[in-house]
Amino acid sequence: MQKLDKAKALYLTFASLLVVGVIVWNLGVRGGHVEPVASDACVACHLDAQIITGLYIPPETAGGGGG
Amino acid sequence: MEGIEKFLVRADFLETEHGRLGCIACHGGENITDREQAHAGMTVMPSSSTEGVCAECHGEITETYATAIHYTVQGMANFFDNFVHPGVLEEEDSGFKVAFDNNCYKCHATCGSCHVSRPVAYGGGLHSQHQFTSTPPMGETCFGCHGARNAGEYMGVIGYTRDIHFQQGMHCKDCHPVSNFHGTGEVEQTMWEVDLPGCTDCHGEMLTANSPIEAHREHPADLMNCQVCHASANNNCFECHATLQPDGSVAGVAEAMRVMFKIGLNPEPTPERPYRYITLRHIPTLIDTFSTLAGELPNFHEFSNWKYSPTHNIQRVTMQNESCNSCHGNEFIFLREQDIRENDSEASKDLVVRQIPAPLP
Ligand code: HEC
Ligand code: HEC
Ligand code: HEC
Ligand code: HEC
Ligand code: HEC
Ligand code: HEC
Ligand code: HEC
Ligand code: HEC
Repeated sequence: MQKLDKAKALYLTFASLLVVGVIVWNLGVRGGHVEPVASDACVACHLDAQIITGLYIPPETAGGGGG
Repeated sequence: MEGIEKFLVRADFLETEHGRLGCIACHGGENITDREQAHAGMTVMPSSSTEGVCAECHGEITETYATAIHYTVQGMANFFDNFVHPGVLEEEDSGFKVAFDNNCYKCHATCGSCHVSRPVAYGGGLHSQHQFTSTPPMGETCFGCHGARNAGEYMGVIGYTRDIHFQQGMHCKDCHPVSNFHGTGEVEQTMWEVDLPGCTDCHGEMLTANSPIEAHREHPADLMNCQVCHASANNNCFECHATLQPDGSVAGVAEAMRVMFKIGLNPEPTPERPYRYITLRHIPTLIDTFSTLAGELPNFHEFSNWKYSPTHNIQRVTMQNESCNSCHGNEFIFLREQDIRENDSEASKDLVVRQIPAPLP
């Protein structure tokens, strides 16, 4: 009984280390530590032409300047 | 401009490398359907710092961009160091610093001002419905900041002709290497020390003794820049006054703009630009341009109002190269004593051509 538990604990430890490792490795491939953040509320408006048109009040327009 | 031209995001953006991160990963804000609450604490410009989110995956580019002149606008900063005194922009109570921070700095470019949105100075908003475009659309981005001169002249919006390369479908980046935008990692002090392109990069040396074109044979390569014969009239501004606006911004308003063509003497030939004759453009700085915010410019008279201009409206045949004597003996296209205005600087006189090339028989 004791022995089995020890093996189980070892297995669980290594299994979870592997999971953490894979996650870290994946972050490395992505190149940074920015993580995706749920943004469905932003998407709900910004992908809808009617909503955007409806909410928008145009300002005075500026021309191209500079050198 | 309509709201959808500025704030609508295309659906397939969400499937891209960037879109998958979710809006909030870059812009902050809250995932709430109430408009005001959702936008609370949001970052409008996620790429405004080279240490921000872009650095996570594009570290090589953000690293060199930190010292690129598009990011630092160091050339404009040096204008004040030269005209006033070195370090003037570090002085908290300086009116010149107010002018720089609230006017010049507006032209500072973020990654997004080329790749994602129109520059603030051109109305802002997304240029391609939030697609991160590899090649910035010239008419929306470069033109947004360079429209009054280079890009406007190139596209034929200003002046009398477009550029032959524009007619051939060429983009700015077909001549300008990407280091002109992303920098090299060296601090760039002026745009003239950047690795700018040269006409001979593509055309080879044209002014040679065995050229089939007589005008190319008759003049040595270091006598004048190609634009003396191949560019045409450009945009010149006169008499700029900076004024503080009610909203705290600083507006610089030129009293006059004139499309004209002037050839002058090169005040300081260098190995890169050894020419004796160069094409010019007038800049509108006056001794009292900043006098409502700060004092006069102490070193005003040391710098010419007429500047070297590699004008971007190249054509094969121009008003001045049509025949030898369209140029030889044509005093109107050279900078003359009477072209120097009363409120131009003393140094402007060094560029006057006192003896124009004589008419040929
Ligand atoms: C999570 C990593 C990540 C972040 C953060 C990120 N990028 Fe990218 N970017 C990529 C990858 C990967 C590609 C290559 C995409 C492809 O080939 O579709 C790319 C491509 C690009 C391109 C070229 C577009 C193309 O279609 O080839 C531009 C421009 C760009 N990124 C700009 C930015 C800017 C500006 C920021 C900051 C606002 C940024 N990126 C943030 C990963 C990222
Ligand atoms: C947000 C405004 C802005 C945008 C957008 C912009 N520029 Fe510029 N650019 C500037 C400013 C300001 C300078 C000069 C900085 C200085 O002298 O301090 C400059 C300098 C330059 C220079 C000379 C210096 C160098 O580094 O090469 C070139 C060439 C140039 N821009 C081309 C372009 C092109 C091509 C585009 C479009 C792809 C573009 N710019 C987009 C503001 C902008
Ligand atoms: C003044 C305009 C300008 C600015 C500002 C700018 N870029 Fe670029 N970028 C370009 C141009 C032009 C190209 C080349 C496009 C082509 O070859 O078609 C380019 C290319 C790229 C590419 C494609 C891959 C490559 O290297 O050729 C990526 C990624 C990129 N830029 C990211 C960035 C990031 C990140 C920033 C800010 C740190 C930035 N850019 C700032 C003009 C700019
Ligand atoms: C990878 C980072 C990134 C993600 C993800 C992202 N954006 Fe942006 N967004 C930018 C950048 C960069 C700009 C241009 C501003 C700048 O120069 O930094 C911009 C500009 C905008 C603008 C124009 C702002 C203006 O006034 O000019 C809007 C609107 C916008 N984003 C909405 C969204 C929405 C909605 C989402 C999600 C669907 C989203 N963004 C996801 C980086 C991002
Ligand atoms: C046919 C090639 C070519 C194209 C296309 C081109 N340029 Fe240039 N550009 C040059 C050359 C050559 C120089 C520098 C000449 C020198 O060093 O004397 C230059 C210099 C510049 C400068 C710095 C000098 C100045 O006059 O302010 C800016 C800014 C600039 N170009 C912007 C642009 C923009 C913006 C576009 C696109 C609208 C563009 N260029 C398209 C060839 C080109
Ligand atoms: C990136 C390469 C490139 C650069 C740099 C470049 N050109 Fe060109 N040029 C071309 C191409 C391509 C054409 C169109 C094809 C042709 O006629 O050769 C062209 C056409 C021309 C023509 C018209 C030729 C004809 O037969 O009608 C003239 C004149 C010219 N260029 C002058 C210049 C000058 C002056 C400069 C510097 C400001 C310059 N070019 C810089 C590539 C370049
Ligand atoms: C003194 C005046 C002058 C100068 C300086 C000059 N050109 Fe020309 N160029 C001409 C004339 C004139 C033509 C022929 C126009 C015609 O077809 O009538 C010409 C023709 C050309 C053509 C078309 C050539 C062909 O074989 O079809 C190109 C390209 C060109 N020039 C590029 C340049 C470049 C690049 C420079 C600078 C290195 C330069 N030119 C300097 C006067 C000049
Ligand atoms: C757009 C202006 C322009 C055009 C067109 C032009 N030239 Fe010139 N030429 C000059 C200038 C400027 C000089 C230098 C005058 C000086 O400093 O002595 C010059 C000098 C010369 C010289 C003396 C060369 C030397 O080594 O100093 C000769 C010879 C000459 N040109 C012949 C011609 C012929 C022939 C044509 C027509 C095929 C022609 N030029 C077209 C501007 C032009």
